Amino acid sequence: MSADVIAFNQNTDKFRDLVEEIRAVRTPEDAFEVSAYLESTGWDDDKASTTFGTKDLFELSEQLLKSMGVRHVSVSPFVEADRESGVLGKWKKALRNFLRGIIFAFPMAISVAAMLTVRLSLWSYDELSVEVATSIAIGTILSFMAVGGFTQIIARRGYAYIDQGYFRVAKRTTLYFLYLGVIFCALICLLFIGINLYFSQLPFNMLVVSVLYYFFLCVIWMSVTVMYLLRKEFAFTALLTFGILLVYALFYYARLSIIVSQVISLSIVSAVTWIVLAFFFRLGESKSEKGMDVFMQRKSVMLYTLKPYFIYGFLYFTFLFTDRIMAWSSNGVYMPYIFWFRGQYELGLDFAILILILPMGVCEVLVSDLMEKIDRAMKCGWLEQTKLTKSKSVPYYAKSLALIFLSSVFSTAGITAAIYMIQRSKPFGLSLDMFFNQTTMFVYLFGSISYCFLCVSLTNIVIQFSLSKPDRVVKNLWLSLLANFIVGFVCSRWFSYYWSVIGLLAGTVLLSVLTTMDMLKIMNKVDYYIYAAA
Amino acid sequence: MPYASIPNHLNAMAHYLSSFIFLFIIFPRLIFRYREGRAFDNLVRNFIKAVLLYIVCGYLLVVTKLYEFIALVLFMVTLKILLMKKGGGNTVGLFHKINCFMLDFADGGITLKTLVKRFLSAFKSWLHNILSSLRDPANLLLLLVCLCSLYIRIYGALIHPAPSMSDSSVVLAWMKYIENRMIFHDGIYPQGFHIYLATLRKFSAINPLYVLNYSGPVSGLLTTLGIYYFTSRITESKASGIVAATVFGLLWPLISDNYVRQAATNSQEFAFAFIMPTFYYYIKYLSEGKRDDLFTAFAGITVIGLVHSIALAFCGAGAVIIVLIFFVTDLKRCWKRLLNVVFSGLLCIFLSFLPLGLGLLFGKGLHASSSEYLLSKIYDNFYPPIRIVDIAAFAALGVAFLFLIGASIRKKLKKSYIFVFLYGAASFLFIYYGPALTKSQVITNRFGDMWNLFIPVLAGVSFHILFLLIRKTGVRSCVQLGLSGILFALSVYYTKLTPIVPYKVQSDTAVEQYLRIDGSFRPTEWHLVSGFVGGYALSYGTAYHIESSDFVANYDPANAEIRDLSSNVLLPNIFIFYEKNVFIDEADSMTDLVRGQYEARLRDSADLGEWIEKYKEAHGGLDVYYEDADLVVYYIKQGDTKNLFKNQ
Repeated sequence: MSADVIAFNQNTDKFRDLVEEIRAVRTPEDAFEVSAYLESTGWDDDKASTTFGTKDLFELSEQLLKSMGVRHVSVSPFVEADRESGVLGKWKKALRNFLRGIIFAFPMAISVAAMLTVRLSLWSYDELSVEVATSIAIGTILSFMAVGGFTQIIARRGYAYIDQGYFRVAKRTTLYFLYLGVIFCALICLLFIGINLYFSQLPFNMLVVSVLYYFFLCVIWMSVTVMYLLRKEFAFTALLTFGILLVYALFYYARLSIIVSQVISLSIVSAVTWIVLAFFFRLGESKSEKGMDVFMQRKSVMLYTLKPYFIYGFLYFTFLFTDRIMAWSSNGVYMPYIFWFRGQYELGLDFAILILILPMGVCEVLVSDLMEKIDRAMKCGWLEQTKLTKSKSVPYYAKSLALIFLSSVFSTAGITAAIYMIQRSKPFGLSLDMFFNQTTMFVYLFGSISYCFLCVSLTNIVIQFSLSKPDRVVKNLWLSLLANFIVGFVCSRWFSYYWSVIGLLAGTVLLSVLTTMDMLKIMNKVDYYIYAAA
Repeated sequence: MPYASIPNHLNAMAHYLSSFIFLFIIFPRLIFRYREGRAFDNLVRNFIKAVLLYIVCGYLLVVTKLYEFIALVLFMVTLKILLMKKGGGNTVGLFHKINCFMLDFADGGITLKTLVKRFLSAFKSWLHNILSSLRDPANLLLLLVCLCSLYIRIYGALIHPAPSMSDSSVVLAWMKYIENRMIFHDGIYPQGFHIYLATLRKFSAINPLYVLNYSGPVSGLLTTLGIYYFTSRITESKASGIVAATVFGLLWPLISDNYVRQAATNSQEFAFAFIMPTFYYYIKYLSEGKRDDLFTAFAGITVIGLVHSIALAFCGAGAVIIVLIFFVTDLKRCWKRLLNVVFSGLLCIFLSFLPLGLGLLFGKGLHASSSEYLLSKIYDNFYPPIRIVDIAAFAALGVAFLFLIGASIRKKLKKSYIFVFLYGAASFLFIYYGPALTKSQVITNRFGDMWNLFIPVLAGVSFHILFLLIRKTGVRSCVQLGLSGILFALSVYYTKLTPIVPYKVQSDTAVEQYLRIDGSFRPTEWHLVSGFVGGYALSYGTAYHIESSDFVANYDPANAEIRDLSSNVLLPNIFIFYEKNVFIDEADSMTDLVRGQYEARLRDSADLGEWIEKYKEAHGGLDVYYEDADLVVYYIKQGDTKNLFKNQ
């Protein structure tokens, strides 16, 4: 659009009215704030273009800002934010965040330790027949996929309310989501049974095992989410330990079969978890300030706004298990069912996932730091000119990303070294012979690389969620899931079943690239996004 | 559950039908645009396009070794998403609807009670629509014709588990090869029909034998509907369509010498189902110029090309006649359309022969017996005898001819009627003089159906022409419908709805026992030792098959264990099918080939009998799984199946 046209259009009454309208509300800090205001009042690129002949809304905002004659006060958000806390305080905070980041791995670590020492866990056992392992694998994967969306929306909305001190409404909302979750899981279960009846794939005993594990694991995942929400992360670790001990007692002392032992333990752990949750809620309620609550948002509105997070949760867990599904559905010489658990593959991924622990801790530290800086920057006053902000934010982001990636690589090296050392020294008679075969090592190698990229992606995703930008994440995850699915499917069918891990690699690489590209876009206009998120 | 029991067929048919409905009605409805007009038109269009889609997709997936259920689902979902983005299909708002439903549910706008109410009301309205459409006597009559046509074709498949005719074993094996991502296993032959069957099998999740047994009669039903569709649309009279459908559906045994093929499952009969609708859509496109009609016709003829070459010749000849008619009578108006038709025809030929090229590229040869048959010659001049039914068809042709003269005088010549006359006359001339002129075995034996298939159309069209003398449309329709009803009643009375039951190459008992074992053991858990024809095709994919002669040659009955020859794995469950009286169907023609095979089977059976006796002596007996006067099934259980899976 030529300058003449803009100059001509600026003279219109409409333009002057708009300037006055913005001035009446608040003197904007920069053009992005003007854009955000205009968007909130129904303006978009088309309307800007047709009304004033500008290229887009941003150009109009700049013209408006010029007309208002606003002068900027240059304050670097990051510099300003850094001034706030001392070095010791920063380290303390970082350590706290790091621990919170890796805390999710405690239950996993306990399960792995139990498997290595007593050869059983709450839902696994070293000597399971392939049929039972297949049934449990189906139940487990299905439970993650069914509950994934609910864990995200419970956390998203619950944290938002709790952070603002609205505990009662957080409780009501959480219970409502749990109610929906139970209905949803039941429907998925019925669908699963229906599909199995139609396709006659699993025999009755395998179906029963799948459904039982699915049911209890769904209950457990949902309650774990709520415990994390209430910041009672250790409670679940304790319950898990109790569950494993119970399985151990029932299996080794009461001489019950492993399935019966695990089902009894799972049901007891599930029931206790819910009782504990009820207790925590009551405790939280009694502590919360009276009269602080707001009404629960209209359910349809709430669900509508949370929809991208729900889809993300579902897609994320589907993404994580797609390679397994591809591998285990790949035809073998002896393939009695459409889906057939392969232990060597699972083992490779089990070891590979351990590398997530360290980078996730680092991720928590970096994201918290970034968000804190952003938060402070918003409160510090006038935002700097875009160029200057960009010059600070992009390198900061790049540094964070490099740190995450390096910590992932470091973690992979550490885990690999630990595996080799354990195998060589065999402490307490511990042997990792099962790891040293072509399939497991292949899966471990590519699984580890994939999880390194996943760490990068997750960091990007967490930042985008913090800025309330879930839509791009969901789109990127769709594409990555498709890549994971297609590459995994093709590789597992053309080469060998365990090549499906290449699908995971393709998916995670694509996801990290796409989310990083989005992050760079965001970082280039970070003040706009901060304002929009606020 | 016995094969011929009602619960068994209810279960298998429910699977088969749901698969068929999903693949050929629901999914096409989701991806193809809904055109204005009658629902039946949309059904036909969608069916033709969907079959082409699955065949092309099947070829691509099999060649790339990716053909399986997951790949098919992925293909369908991707296609749906792509079409949704382009704004095609009919469920652009599907996700929006789901969203709305969820949000309404969240706000309490939808409860379980309202949901049940909604469902019941939708069901009621659907039922009401169905019943009200059946209030139209023509629809009811068509339904009866279809049911009777299906009954006489499917009866044998419901009673006899053994597949019909000798080709069925080949079809069964090829369907299973496709499922196992093997193309042209026994040489190059159009695989379209086998891909269609394999896709149906994937989604129906039943033993392939049921898909095989049901699909032949269903092809017959589809052909009946195709003939009805063509005739009723060009005459714009349901009654004449019903006449044509009745002649084909019920009186076919009087028309064709190869009528038993209607109850067997062969690719040629499946391809026949597409011929008439393809003709109709070519005529419609050239008359009206709608691109979708051209695409439907192209899809139809390409399906035929990918399924059966002889049927392609029938259809190609018709397409050429249609082009010529429009070229001569209406070139000025529709030269562009004619070019499009010619171009689509060339594309069809290219696509139809593409598999041949692919096969040659893979180093495969032509399917030996088919190519041999294709090139075989007759040595005497052969002129087929003129039957009563041919004379009746000549009369119909005469009526059409007179009508055309009358119409040309009144300058109300309809091109579809010209086509009917020309194709009818040309096909008769071809099948009458063709054998003598070409000396080709194929033309002598198979091209008769080109003419036979058109006889019902001639009957329907001439029936309509005769009643055009009645000017009042209402009266004419009533009379036509009444007479078509009478024809149907007479046909039922005359034929007594005698089922068409083709000959078998396997005994029903052997197949029944195979199904019984298959129901009790997972695939890969058992081995079948047999010497009967088609044992390999039957068990392929569900069990491991050992030919009885190989079994006798390779395994010493004195040995304590029977192990796999290559992997040395202990075979856990072995079922030996020993025919005390080697089966042969009297209706099966005792050609030299069949006789030779039968004698070899007698020898193999005797050898197997000896082996069994020695085994009994060495091991103190052998478990009998089943026994009757003709067949004994012995069972050797050697170990736990779980051993097989340990190192997976």
